[in-house]
Amino acid sequence: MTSFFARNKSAAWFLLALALFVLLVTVLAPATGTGFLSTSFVKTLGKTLCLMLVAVAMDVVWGYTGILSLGHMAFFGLGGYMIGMWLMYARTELIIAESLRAAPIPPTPEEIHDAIGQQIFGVVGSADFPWLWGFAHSFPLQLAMVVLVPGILALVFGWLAFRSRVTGVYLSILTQAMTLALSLYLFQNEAGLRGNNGLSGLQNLPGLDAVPQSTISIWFFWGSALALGLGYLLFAWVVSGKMGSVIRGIRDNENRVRFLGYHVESYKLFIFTLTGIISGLAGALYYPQAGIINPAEIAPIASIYLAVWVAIGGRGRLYGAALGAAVVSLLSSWFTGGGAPNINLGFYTINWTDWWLVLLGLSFVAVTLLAPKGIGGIFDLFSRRHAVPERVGDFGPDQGARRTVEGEEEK
Amino acid sequence: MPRALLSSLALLLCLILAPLTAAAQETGLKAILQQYQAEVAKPGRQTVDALIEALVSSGDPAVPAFLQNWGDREVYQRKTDGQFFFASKNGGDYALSDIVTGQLAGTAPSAEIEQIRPNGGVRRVISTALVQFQLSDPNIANRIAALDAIARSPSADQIEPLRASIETEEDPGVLARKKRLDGMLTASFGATPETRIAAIGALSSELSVDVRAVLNQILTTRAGVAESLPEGANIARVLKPGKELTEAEAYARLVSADLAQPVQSREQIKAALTANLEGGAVGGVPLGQLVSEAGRARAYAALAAEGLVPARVTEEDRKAALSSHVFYEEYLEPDAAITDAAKAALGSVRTRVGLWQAVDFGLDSLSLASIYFLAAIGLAITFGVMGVINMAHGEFIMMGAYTGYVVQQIIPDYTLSLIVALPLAFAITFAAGVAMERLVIRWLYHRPLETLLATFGISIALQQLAKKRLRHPGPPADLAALARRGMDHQRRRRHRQHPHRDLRAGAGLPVLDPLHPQQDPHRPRGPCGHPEPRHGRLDGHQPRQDQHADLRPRIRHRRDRRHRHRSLRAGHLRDGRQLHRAELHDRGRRRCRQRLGHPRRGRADRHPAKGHRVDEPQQYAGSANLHDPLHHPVHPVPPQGHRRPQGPRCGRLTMPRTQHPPVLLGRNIPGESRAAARGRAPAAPQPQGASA
Repeated sequence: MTSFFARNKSAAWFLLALALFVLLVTVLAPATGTGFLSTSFVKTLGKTLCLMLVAVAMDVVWGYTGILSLGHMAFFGLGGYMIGMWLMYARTELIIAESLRAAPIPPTPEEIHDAIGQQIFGVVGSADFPWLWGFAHSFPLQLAMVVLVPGILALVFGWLAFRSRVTGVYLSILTQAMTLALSLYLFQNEAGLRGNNGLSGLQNLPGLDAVPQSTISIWFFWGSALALGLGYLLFAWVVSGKMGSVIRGIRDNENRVRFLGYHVESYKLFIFTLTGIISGLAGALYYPQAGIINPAEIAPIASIYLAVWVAIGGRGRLYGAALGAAVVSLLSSWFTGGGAPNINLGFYTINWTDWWLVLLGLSFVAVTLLAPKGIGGIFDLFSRRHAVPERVGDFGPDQGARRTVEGEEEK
Repeated sequence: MPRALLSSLALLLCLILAPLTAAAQETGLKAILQQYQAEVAKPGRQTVDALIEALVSSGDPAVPAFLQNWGDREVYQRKTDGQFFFASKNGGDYALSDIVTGQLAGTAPSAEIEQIRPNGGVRRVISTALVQFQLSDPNIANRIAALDAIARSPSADQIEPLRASIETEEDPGVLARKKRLDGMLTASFGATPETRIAAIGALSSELSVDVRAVLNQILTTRAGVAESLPEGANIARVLKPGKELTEAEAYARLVSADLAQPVQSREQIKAALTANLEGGAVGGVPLGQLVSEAGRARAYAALAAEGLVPARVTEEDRKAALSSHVFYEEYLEPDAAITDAAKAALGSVRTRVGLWQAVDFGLDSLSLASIYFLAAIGLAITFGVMGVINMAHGEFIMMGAYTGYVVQQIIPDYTLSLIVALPLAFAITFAAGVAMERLVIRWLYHRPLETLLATFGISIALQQLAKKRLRHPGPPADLAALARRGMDHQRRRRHRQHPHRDLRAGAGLPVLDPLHPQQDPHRPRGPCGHPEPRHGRLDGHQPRQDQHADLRPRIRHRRDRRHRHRSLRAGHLRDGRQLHRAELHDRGRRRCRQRLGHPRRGRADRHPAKGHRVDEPQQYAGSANLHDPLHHPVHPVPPQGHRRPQGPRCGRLTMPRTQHPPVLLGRNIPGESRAAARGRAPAAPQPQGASA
């Protein structure tokens, strides 16, 4: 293990920073410390950690493997839906059982089941459980669905797409089409996930009504931090070593790797599925903190924002993606939440809730044009890390043999 | 007795004076009125027919005006001699005017005259009688209004006056309408089956909504259930439970026809068990066993055996009841030949409507496809030739659209604004394209995926700028009002520009609540078993302004609608392209009859200023109008000075009658003051061809 951290110094630094951050928040949180931070801000921080995890996954699939997937937020949302189903079912079951207990005749299991269906699906004018909810009564089974549903969807979709050798922009469009189709499907009441109402009340954990939200928020913060740490380690391990070299080779020149004898499709499929599963897990941690999920969360725009976070943070380095997600989402909630003070220019007052998106859009352009390495590029200034020894001229017999700058196709 | 003496004296006076007045009046209106004096003064629904018949057959030209005023309670009877007059209030007295000539005939204090108030039933009879006069009224607007009235509430006795008026009709348009209406009336109410079948056959070449409504009306069915098919009934079709009818629906029909016992629901069984809970057991079954369905069934069976509850309807009972009955739909029209003819006619009408719809849809698609093609071809060039993925392409479309919109605000003429907007939109988007290429894309030619990111940034910035600068008409932005205004504007415009606007105007036969067709199991069914009418206003519904037909006639509406959606997050109405048009509201697709606007908006914001039809508060018409100072039985003169508002709605419910001048059909002259209209002799006959 020492050798792993020795090879991946950035992972060690990232985990250290994360641990310090968790310690700091724990000390300042209302439930475990001074209460300097509000419960809702602790939740915001916990959600940000989940977004960082999915951004790290996106970086692996885009920054390292070169697949610009616009579908990872769909996996994220599916994970949220899967855990949300159990949360809704279990909590409604407790409430129903409580209310039926007062009756002189104790309830039958069928009665309870029907009453739960009435309670959950009354809002979409139905009372019957769709087949989709077959495992919703059981926590372990539904937890398995958190992994299986995004995983199988990613596996099937990836297998079909990569087998047909769809690459580049076309693959992006294909994944976006999948996301759009999924979100449109879930918008229908007939899909069985309550249509555009989505699942709500997820912040109330079943059986924990006595526990205040401040405590639950710090639990989820810890859980999210743990998931981010483990996920970061997993991905750092995946992208280092031989496999990391292969997937970076796929990013830079897929055909060359294929001719070297590697089965490119399997590597891509593995990365795509693994990142899909981790995205689902991140979603399962995110939505109990957010409290509500609906199909708009799955819409393609969410996945595009994910790509933008990674781009702003810096592709091709895991800590860059995590930083990008954290900075942009926290800034976004600061600006749109009314936290940023309005600027009075004399002739016009800049109201940040209106102008934030303009600023964000222009900063994308600026980052793309002026700082292609993103926020992560700042660390290069004082880290003396040089992946490639500085040399003038080409490295090999041919121009494309080894690149001075990773990730750029030479023309 | 003195009164009878008085009236006979008056009659004598009339007879003596008879040679002095025009002879025609004696045999005309006045004579009839005097003959039926009691009936005119206190008309009854059952007995008024003879009087009406006499009036109509007299041929006196003053009869229509009299009928109109009679129905409007504008006729007064002088108590001294029993004569009838039109009267208008003039100071403390009433100015009387003659019924036939309209000449002023003296004044009378209000104690000496009595207002004649026919009741609602009589007024309906009067208005039916009036229709035949209106049908041959010299004013064309009145004739059209009469036709509208007939189309709204068709009945058998309108056929004769309508046919009589066809012969004298001169205007070709009205003549055609009369003939059409005659055909429709004959199809519904013709004397013999042969005439009806012939009329129905003639209707099959029509396309309009009201014709389809007539045919649907003929084909109205009634759901029925019996042991065997009834003899002689005109059966539309037989329904098999499980196929055309779900078993639950079929059994519900049996229950509502008292042919079977209702199935006990789980709640009912539980309630019965709870009611018979004794000492921790129900019917000998201990409470602990009642936590399963089987245990409850046993307990209920025990109770049923004791006769405490009705026996449980088992699945076998249900099946047996379903199989021993036949479910059918029966036409209300008993004659099978007529319904067959109507079915065939409706079929051919529907086929042709479908064809036209297909053509309409095809043109729509072509238009939409052209727009998409224009948009896509630009993207194809930038991506295919330059290798640049332009995520802000949609914002260029938006710029062009806003250019057209802004130009239209400045130049109201549609054609001219289009001519100006086309080159202007070209110039503006060209400039924007040049600026984007020089500033951003030039640096990214070798990094195609990064053009995607940069142009996405431009896209969201431009979107937000457009929302900020072009959407809000002025501070402060009340989002709710903004949304409402946007919707109403769209509704109004849709209404104005609807190409089938003529078809939308009325002419539906009375139907059940079209919003909830599923609620009534006995709702009339069409020949195919669907609840009829099916497709919104196309099949004869009364149109509602805030609903859509499934026929969407203008590409313009769709185009506007596509870019407006309710953001699901914030509940604000926004313009934008983030969501697909199918994400509007909750369904994947917008269904027939689904509202476009806010799902819970509707009745609350209907307002006459927006062009909506709003039921106005009715005038209080009770007999003891105590809150009305003008007609107060004890203090008829309004008290001077400040008067506190009293009564319902602060006294506004009881408006003085003087604010409502008598409305003669089509004879209110716009611009003329109400007082002047009031002072005019109401019975003055309209000069020939005044507004034809």
